[in-house]
Amino acid sequence: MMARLNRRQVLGVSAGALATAALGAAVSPAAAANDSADLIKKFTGGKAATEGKVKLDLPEIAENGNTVPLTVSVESPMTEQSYVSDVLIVADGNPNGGMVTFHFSPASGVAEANTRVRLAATQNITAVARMNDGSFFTASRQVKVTIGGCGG
Amino acid sequence: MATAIKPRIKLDKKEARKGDIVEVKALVQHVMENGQRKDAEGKTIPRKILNKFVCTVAGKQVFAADFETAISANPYIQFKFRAAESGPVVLTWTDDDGSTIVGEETITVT
Repeated sequence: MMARLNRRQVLGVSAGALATAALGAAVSPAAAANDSADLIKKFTGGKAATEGKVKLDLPEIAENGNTVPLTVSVESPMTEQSYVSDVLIVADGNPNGGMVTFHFSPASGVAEANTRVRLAATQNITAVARMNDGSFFTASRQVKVTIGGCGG
Repeated sequence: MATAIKPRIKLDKKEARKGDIVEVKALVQHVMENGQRKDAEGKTIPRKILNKFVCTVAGKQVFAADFETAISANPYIQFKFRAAESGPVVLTWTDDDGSTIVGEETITVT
């Protein structure tokens, strides 16, 4: 621990750190701060997910990050032959990447669910759907958060 | 204490034809403590959330969800199922401490 830091030094250091973080994010968006990328990899087993079929509905700007309505729906006939089995939703800017996993079955009829989530800051939300045939589909949305939902 | 929590459940229709899509909305009171917050003394408040939700209709699972700490307090969930047979619609939430909150409605399929 440093013995003494005056205010100016502290500000300088943190501004530098912020600049580095921003630069890092711009250069490699894949390198998220939390475990969200790992969670997706674990969910898909390393397979690539195709864009499409998944619809992720969130407000563009969330005034209060404590309860943000989130709806996810996946195009699928939901029959025994072809259905969505699981949908993983992760956030790349929360302390923990995982948000929720929905488990559907042909008895669900429609692959659609809605809940309310916490968002700590402006960030990207990603949904990955697993079909019964082993293929994966994905969609992402950015949400701007005015007041964060963690710690309050 | 935990058993006193009564979830609020609403089906968009109580009677359905076979094959109809029924929408379920449910709200349950729970702090969903995320394990990040600190109390007045600066100690971390331990995590306590509902981590699992299951819905069965006439004994058959139609929908389930694994909640993480990112789910808001007093979790709300909305989903649909295809009416197949009459019976109880049972919603079960499981707490981190292993206790459960159960709510029940009935669907009549004609």
